[in-house]
Amino acid sequence: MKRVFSHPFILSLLIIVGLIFLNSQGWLKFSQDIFFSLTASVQKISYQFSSKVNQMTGSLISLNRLNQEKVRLAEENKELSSQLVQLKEAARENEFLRQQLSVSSPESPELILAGVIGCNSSFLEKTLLINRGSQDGVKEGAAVITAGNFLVGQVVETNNSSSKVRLILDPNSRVNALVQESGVTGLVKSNQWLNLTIDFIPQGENIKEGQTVVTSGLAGFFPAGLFIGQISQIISIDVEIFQKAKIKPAVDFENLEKVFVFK
Amino acid sequence: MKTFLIILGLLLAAVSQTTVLPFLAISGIVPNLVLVLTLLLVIFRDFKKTWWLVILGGLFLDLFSGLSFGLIGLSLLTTAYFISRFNQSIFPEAKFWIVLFLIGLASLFYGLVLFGLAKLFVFINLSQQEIYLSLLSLNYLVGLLISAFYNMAFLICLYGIKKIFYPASFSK
Repeated sequence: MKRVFSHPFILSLLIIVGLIFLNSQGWLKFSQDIFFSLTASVQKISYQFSSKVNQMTGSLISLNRLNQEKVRLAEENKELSSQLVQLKEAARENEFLRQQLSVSSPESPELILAGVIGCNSSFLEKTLLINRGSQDGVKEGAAVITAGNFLVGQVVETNNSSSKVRLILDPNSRVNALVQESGVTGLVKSNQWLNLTIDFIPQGENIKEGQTVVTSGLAGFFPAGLFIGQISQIISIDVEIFQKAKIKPAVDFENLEKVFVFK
Repeated sequence: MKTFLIILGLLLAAVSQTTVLPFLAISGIVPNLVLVLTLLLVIFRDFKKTWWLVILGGLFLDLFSGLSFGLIGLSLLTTAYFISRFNQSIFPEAKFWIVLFLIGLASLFYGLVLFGLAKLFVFINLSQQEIYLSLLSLNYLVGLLISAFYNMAFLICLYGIKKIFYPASFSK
């Protein structure tokens, strides 16, 4: 019996199982907090440096595409300006109607600003590490966004000073969503190749490329109205009950530096 | 001193895994530096002498990962032991091509064990995170292959770096 336990593989196995047990009881929380507070600064510097190098090389490579991009952005800017005028008018009307009906304006949510200090990318997970934790008010399950209400993911684990965020690109992530223009609901998911799709849309529902996909707020995991992306391709096969569509994500996940966590 | 440097190296590798390597991702798949380093330790120094370094490497990865705690540690340990046994029983000498083959094989094995354990963790309620992926899906298998080739390419780079800084070890 003693020989069995002194075998390095059995011994290692027992140590890891012991650590899993201690962690499940929450007894490793303190040592994890110390580990993260010691490594956070190195991680932050290393991540930001790599991000800057990546951005620099990326812009050098795509230098010849900049002109086309400039023309496209100018056109998009014109379109958005006209939309902005319409939205301002709608907001003014909305405010007037609220006053008439004595309905109070919805409260804006409290957000926590966090810096990205690392990310995990493998075929089984796509997560971010952020430098805000439970001591800053971050809670497990909270939605994470970037500026402009663009959905990034959801907090899956918190430590004292840092947290882990599961991206919507994670192959195990599921988000209840709706196509804003048609009101059709579906489920947004991803695969290992970072292709975001909205699935379970009944055949016959009218969806078009370029339409906006936002969170529906169903199931209560994410607040309603967070921008996920735009439909880039519709995949509809007649013999299937549901149709699906590829989504171009609104967030540039490669260059994420700051995010907001819902309190 | 040498042991301390190895531990520091593993820690830095784990930090790089979450800070530098994601920017080298191909379709979201990055080379697993800690896996490659721990396997090199096991291949060149035997599992009996390095088992605790394997645990440490897995622990570092587990701490940074969003997966359930212990999942990566167990997968890494199983892979390292399997490769150590396989290497000892089949290959008498650790030549470059053999090491390259072992890293590729270990990457595939690691991916399969990680997937199996992830499902097991959900089944025995150790993890609340549902795994929607299917092992038999073409996506997953192709992902495994890409990650194996990527790890092998990374090993070639490591050998290249070693050749530049320690040319003496290659002249024999």
